[in-house]
Amino acid sequence: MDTGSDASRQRSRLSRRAALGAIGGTTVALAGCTGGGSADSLTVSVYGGAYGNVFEEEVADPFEAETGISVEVAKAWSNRVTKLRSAQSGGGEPPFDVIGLSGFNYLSARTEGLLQSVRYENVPNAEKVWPFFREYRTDEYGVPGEAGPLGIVYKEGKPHAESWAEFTTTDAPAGMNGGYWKNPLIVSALLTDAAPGIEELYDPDQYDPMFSTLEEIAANVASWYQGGADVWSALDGGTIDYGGFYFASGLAGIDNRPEKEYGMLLPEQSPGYFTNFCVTNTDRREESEQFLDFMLDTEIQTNWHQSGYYVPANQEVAGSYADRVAGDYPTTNEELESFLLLGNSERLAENQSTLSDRFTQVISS
Amino acid sequence: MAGAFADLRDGLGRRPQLLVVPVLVFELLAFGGAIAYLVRLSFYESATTAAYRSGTWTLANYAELVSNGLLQERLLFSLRVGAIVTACSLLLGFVYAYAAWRASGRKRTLLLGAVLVELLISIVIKVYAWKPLLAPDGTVNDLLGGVGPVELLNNEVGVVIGLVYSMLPYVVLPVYATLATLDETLLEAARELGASRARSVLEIVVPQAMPGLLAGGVTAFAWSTVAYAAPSILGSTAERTIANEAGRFINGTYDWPRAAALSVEAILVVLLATALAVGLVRRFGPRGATEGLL
Repeated sequence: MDTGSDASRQRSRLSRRAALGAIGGTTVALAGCTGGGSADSLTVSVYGGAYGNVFEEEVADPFEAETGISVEVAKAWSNRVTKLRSAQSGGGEPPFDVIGLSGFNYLSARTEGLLQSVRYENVPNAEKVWPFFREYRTDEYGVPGEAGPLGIVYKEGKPHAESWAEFTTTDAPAGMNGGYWKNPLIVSALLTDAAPGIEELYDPDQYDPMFSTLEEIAANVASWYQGGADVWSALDGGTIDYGGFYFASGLAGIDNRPEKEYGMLLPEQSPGYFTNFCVTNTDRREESEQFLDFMLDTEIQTNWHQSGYYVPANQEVAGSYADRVAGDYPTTNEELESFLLLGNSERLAENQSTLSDRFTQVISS
Repeated sequence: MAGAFADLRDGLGRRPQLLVVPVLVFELLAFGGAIAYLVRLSFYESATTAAYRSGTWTLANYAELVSNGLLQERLLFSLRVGAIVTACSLLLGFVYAYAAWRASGRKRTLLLGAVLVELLISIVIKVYAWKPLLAPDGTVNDLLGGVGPVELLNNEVGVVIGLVYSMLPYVVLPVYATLATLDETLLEAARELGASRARSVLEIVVPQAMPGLLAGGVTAFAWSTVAYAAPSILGSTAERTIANEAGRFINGTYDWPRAAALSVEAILVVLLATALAVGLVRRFGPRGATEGLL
């Protein structure tokens, strides 16, 4: 009888232990899902697709190899700032230690207090960054890492635009990014002569002529695509013969499709972006800044550029551009300044809803 | 302890409706809480450099739903595509479920297995798979030979095809479940009494299948009216639902209050349409078809 009772107590103890173990394991697993890395690991959030893969291979993996700090690269196109915001409002750890942001994402993240200022004494390689990138918008909360202009991808042997202006005149189905209004409106502002440069974008009095230009472009656009996968399926499926697409992603995509005869060209001035890599409100601030400094190292920036064709933030790479972009990418700060048409988010913030609504209306009609 | 359990068991025996309390509490916290947050969000003022302006109250986001022509167009498109997809899904789903019910052995297993397999695949992947099939240089146009190219992509046709394909399992399974309880001898009796095959199906099978059709139709309508993936992937920029617009506000202009107001509108519209459908079936449909609903 006693033996049976002991066995029963033992089963009970085991069962409680198993339950506690399961709860503990679940808690640890959930912490891994919802929070950043541990003391010897970092979680870095970057854009998805080929960008994230190249970043992982050329930046994250070498950092891990050199420092022993493991890096988890979280790749996604959207909702990244939302995740930071949700974690902060819930009083939890931020889901990422480092995050690459541009445009409105960078603006809203720093306005909402989701980022820590960069202690530049811990990021000496930031001295090598193009002055244009450091001065265009505040770099207090993030070091510039890379940039990308929009180019034109096309089918070899088919009629296609060779400049943004030819999007309105070329007799062939075109494609343009319709997921986000900024780049098509920068192109429209560039082609509108109501104000210098792309100033139409910032002046509500000049919106009418700018949107008239957009309507001219839209008349020739057969597909307003949402992202990279859409571009290739529109080209492969015969929906479009050419379209605006990020130059670096286009070149990488062409490399991956040797059986297809696609080409890519870069107009003299193009809409584009650059990314500020920021430290979130993580308690791994020092390791995060170490990562930022490593990312800006000339050798790392060169490898990153050679694999992904992004415009490197480190100006020392300018002398050793990949063959495919040599001659296209800027080699001086002045060239860089006129090369990228960025669209200043601070100046656009007030009217972004109006611009987005009118853009959506035009491309839907 | 044992006494307490016995009391609880006796209590539940006398009032079995208490069994639903845990589910109600969960729903209240998980679903009701989220809805309450969404509703509160919809009354915040928009901010230019943040998701919303904390501590504010405004009706402007709802006023805009009435005054903004683009948002009204999106709502009408959402309702239209929801109605078309529901009609097509009910028709095809009923035929498919009927075929599965009439089949036997391996054929039935294959038909039902195919529907279940479709449920295991992510909706984005299912919808994306239609892209190369429907493209101008795609498989369907290849099969059509000299007829084409027929425009099946970047328009409403593509969106409807993608959505009907995605909604079919949600119609087939409840309809099949109701047919499985139907006595097949009733059908044979009708045929022996001189009814044609079509008439026997219309007068015997359809009324019996009505609860399944209603459940499948409500699901297909609720999901397709606020579909996000199929319009984005298979439609042009003209084929966008209110869910796509809410997505634009969340990810494009960072305007959460507008997105929340649009979402509240979507929920109300779907609930009203569902209530209307159930009311019509209750009024004009066979007795007991809406049992357990609303």
